[in-house]
Amino acid sequence: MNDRSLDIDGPALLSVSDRVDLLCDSFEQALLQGLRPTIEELIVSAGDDSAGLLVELVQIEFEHRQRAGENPSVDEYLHRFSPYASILKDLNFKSQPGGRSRRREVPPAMDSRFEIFEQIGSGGFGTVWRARDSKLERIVAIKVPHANRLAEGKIDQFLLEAKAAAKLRHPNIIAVHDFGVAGEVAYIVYEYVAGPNLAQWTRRSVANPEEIARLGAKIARALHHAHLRGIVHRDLKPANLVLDDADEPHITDFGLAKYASPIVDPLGENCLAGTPAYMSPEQLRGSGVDVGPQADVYALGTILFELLTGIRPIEGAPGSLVRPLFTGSPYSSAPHRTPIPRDLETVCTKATADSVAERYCTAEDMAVDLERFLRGEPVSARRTTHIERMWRWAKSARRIIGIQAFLLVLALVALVVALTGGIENQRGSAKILRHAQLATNPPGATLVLVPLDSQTGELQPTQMVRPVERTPVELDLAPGDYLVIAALDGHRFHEVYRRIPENLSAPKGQFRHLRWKSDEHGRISLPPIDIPTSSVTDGMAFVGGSNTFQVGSETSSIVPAHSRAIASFLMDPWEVSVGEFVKVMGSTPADLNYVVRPNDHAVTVGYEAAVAAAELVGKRLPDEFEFEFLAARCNPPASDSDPTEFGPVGQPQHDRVDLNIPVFGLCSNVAEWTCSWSIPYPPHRNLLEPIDRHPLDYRIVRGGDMTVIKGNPTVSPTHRDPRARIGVSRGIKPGIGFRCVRSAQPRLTPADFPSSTGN
Amino acid sequence: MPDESGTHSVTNWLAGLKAGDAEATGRLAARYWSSLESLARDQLKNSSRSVADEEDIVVSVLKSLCRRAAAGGFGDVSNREELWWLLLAITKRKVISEIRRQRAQKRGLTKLTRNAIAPNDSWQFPLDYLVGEAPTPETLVSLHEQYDRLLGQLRDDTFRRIVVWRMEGYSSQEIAERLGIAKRSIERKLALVRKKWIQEIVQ
Repeated sequence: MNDRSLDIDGPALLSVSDRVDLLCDSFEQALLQGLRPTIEELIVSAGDDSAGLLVELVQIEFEHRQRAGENPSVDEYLHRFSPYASILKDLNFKSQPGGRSRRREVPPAMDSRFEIFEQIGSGGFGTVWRARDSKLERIVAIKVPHANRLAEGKIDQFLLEAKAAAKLRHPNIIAVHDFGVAGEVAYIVYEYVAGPNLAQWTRRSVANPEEIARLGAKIARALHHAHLRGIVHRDLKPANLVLDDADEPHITDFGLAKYASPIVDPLGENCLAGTPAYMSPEQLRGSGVDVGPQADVYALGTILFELLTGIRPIEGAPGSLVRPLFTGSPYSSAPHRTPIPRDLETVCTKATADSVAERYCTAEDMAVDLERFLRGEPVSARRTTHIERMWRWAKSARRIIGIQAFLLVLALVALVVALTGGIENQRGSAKILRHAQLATNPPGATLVLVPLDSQTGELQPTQMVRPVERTPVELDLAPGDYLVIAALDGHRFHEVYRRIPENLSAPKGQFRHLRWKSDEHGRISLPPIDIPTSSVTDGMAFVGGSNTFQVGSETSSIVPAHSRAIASFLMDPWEVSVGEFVKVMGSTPADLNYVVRPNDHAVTVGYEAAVAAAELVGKRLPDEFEFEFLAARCNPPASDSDPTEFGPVGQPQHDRVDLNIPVFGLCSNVAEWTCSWSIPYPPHRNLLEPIDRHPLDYRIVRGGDMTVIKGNPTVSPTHRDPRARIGVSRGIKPGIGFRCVRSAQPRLTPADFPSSTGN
Repeated sequence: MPDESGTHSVTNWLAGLKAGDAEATGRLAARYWSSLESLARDQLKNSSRSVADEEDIVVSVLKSLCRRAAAGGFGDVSNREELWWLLLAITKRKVISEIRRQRAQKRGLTKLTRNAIAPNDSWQFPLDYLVGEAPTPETLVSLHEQYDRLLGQLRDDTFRRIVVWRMEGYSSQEIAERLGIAKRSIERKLALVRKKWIQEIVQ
């Protein structure tokens, strides 16, 4: 076992600076999502730490406002937080990112010709300065690469590139006036366009789809102009698109992306030269692969999509490296704008196809389609399939035809999808396979890997993978999550989750079931599985299975009764306590929402931490039916003694199911995570609602309703319905703990997964 | 490693170092890191097993060293709170406590080098104490262990990225741009890491 983190202030308490740091993270995360969190509210909740916190928050907000093109003043903050003025006054607010010393980056030899005014930008490539060209009497923008990033041999190459870019003459491309070397520093002189750039512009104004299509068409035409001359931008992003006074877009920084400082992501082992959010899959994948014009098409599609929805496209967005604390999903609270016209969405979809072959061949083709849209003509982009069209129609019909007819339509759609093999399967067959290594401690185990459906999280035993060899094994697997069963001879086995990443640059999770390591060939190795000894079941209650368990309730339409087979399993007599959790994981969760409780109380953790802890103790989480199977046998809770606080695990005594070892607390104390995803209850399963939230982000919690989950426990029957289920986002909540189970037998064949699809 | 200049110049540097000569410090540190780096390269070359097995420890100090050397070396010798000084100090501390432990076991073996006497009152180890002697393969192993351990203790991957990039020589500004968060946040997190690492040394 590795010696996991023990915070210097002891496992149960975060130090003050850690707390401040967490608060700052969540504040900054909210800022990055375009929300307007208020410093005032946060410092009130910080209590004694408020002064230290304020100093941090003010500086973060200051920086982000500058980045967004605002011009915040120090006085404004002094006034806004007048009680703290004495502290704030001492802060070294920087009017420009980087501050005073940056002046020195401008080569002195240039000073004779250019009068440098101020720094107007900085990035991975270098700094940009507004200046006056005294020879030609005009305002220019001078770009200077970071000296230490441009190795000697590269200067010539860089100048060649600048020369090529200087040949571009297009009304929507910022002209290169001049370039050269002064002293030891290379520089490029650009036409000056005041801006804002698109990144700043989207924050300030809400554009309509037509306006966005107009910008898109112009940019696409300009890109095509450059592509015809053999120049690919490679790092197109909102910050590189500048608007002039007439709202005409201008592209800047052609061909410079490759000179931006390459930085190796220490965790993903990927080279991130450029802005990952807008980079095409071929750029993200390849190092040294020659990236063609269609990478720019991809980037433009991504940018338009962002302008239309206000949502930054997924994987690799810099913000996603920061774990959101308050909000759960990074996009759940992103502002949604007016609905996107379908044809415009189609254009974006085609431009951002993963495969180069499916994208627009040229930027011009994309421009033509955008112009067609503006004229109200149908676009040429691949029409949607009949299934997708039916889905869309069904969604829009929902408002008009009422819920019952809507359900009928959905059933029809489901039928069509079933008959045609479904959209997912068509896509699935085209998916790549990853070469993965998996080992166990001790080695020599038989492995069974059961894929989880990517949409519903349900186990798919008919698609299980059973390598012939014993561990350690190497095998090719489709990306996705798997339940992995590792069984040794005798009765030792373990059931854990492992993830095969689709995108190697995707952020890794914190816990071992979400991690992997990749080598330069794209092969991955997964964390090894530690198979517990058979004594792991000591102290667990044996729960005999049933072939005809009535789950759900006769009287409920939300959880209607249906019959299921439940395999025998073992269950812990109570929830995992704080003490046990710390013993296994090294510390309590470092999360702002963690509620400190005594060692003998149930620990409250996020879903993934629960899965990780269960794996480390050699067990797993129950699914919602296993939980219900036993919870339905609880003694009815005594409503007269409603406690207002959670008690130690095993309390109250009357909430027990008598087995060989009594099981406590299924319908009292904290609510509990199950491993089931938040999808409709099985009888409704083929009426999958088109829901806004993805089931991936939610898990079913049992044993307490929302009041319990929020940390206000009661034991009355209404709050503790053993049949009730509730989908909760995976983050930490004050009233959700977990307990562990183990299958009685290792599940090694499809027959060991009875009715996993529900019936 | 290139050491044609011989021990004579090293002695001079050591003398200069004690006199507070920044250039001498820089040279010593550069010598130290370049020998560490060549040790690291040898080890990477000779290792047939896949590096590191524990999933939480994703980066080895070897890689960071090599990348840093490729990016232009160690210019920041003067700042004693730089992470790599702290890492070195933590490593030294562990090595010494190991020597003490062994000495306690084998009473006969009491010979300790001049430099093995650890100052206990301050985390500000004398510079010559840290880089005055060329590193051995054992130093590298220990450095490796400590780095992995310290990274494993950090709260999340953002912290780990920041520390690794910092060790590789990137500025707060550059890291901030890469992560898309404020420079101030990088500085705050680095300060937090420094505080914890210093605590490791003085505890």
